[in-house]
Amino acid sequence: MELCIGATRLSAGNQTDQSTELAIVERCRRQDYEAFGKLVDAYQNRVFGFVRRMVPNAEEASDITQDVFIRAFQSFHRFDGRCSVRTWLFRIAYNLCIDRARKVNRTPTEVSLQGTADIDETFDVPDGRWQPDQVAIDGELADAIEAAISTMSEKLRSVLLLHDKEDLPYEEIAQMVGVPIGTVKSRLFLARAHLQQHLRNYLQMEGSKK
Amino acid sequence: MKQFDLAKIEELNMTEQELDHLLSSEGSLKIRQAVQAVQEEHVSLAWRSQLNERLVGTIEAKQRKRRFRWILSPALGLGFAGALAVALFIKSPTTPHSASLNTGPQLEESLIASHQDSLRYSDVTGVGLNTDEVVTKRSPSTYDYNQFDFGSL
Repeated sequence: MELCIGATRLSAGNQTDQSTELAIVERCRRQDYEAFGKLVDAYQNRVFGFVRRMVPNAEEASDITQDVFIRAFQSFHRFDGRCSVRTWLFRIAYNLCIDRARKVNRTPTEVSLQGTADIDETFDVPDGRWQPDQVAIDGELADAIEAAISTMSEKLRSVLLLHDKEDLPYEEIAQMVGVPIGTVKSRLFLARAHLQQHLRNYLQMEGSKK
Repeated sequence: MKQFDLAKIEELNMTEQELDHLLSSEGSLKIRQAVQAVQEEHVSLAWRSQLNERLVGTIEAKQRKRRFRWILSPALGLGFAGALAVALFIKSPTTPHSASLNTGPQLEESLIASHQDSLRYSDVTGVGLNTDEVVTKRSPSTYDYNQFDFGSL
């Protein structure tokens, strides 16, 4: 578990850092505004990133992210420390996104994908430009990834983001989503397959342009 | 083109070990790296200041609630104590009734008995003696005549 508070980087391995983190959590439990501000600084972008990809509307995503922190602040006394603050915040965010989806009565978008039998289980993307380390540099490819993520159903998207982007373990995601670990893995597999399909199409289109 | 829906996710006919193997394959990990490489979203300063305002509002609302409770709880206690005191002190004094006087025929009987007693007392002692000065229903043998000062009679 890792917690970045301003310039201080807290990691689970270090006992002093752990005690600092515990102290901050304890202060937050006592409704310490300043300590909570540090937590907000540490997680605001990550939580916003998750919500932004779960909710299509940017303004709505901003509001939901604020609600996540307001709700966390109001119910910090109920945080039992069994999971990390990060997991707890993502759980609130996930629940709010699902609530919002229910409120607008939006059924999860079904993914149009070539049959499951055709999924290339090797996940091979045969292209010389496929350099995952440089994906951040290639703006167009990043956009393609974002577009592929946005076309996934919420169930696949949430698992993909929580596991691959936020590094949450299967057990915590299973608890959060309320499904068995096997189902989380299945969803992750399908989400990656979906992403692979989209990226392959994108790379083929790019190749044919040239 | 075949479509797959979410129901098929649950139907995915693979064991957990097979899934683990697929998810840890090189290609799958590349996809993971791609997702990790997606750039971080950033909130604006306006967003942060708005959040701060909302947090301050939450704190103030909580403090107001606490203050209100702090004032209200002793007031409620006082009110309850006052109501209890009023209930106890203003309660009308009840006249003690003899159990024998509660019902009709018993009342009659006791009135007759009382009248007969008073006649008997007046026969024995004459007018002017209070009924409570007479000990009734005691046999003469129970009296300790040594207590009396017969000389004074």
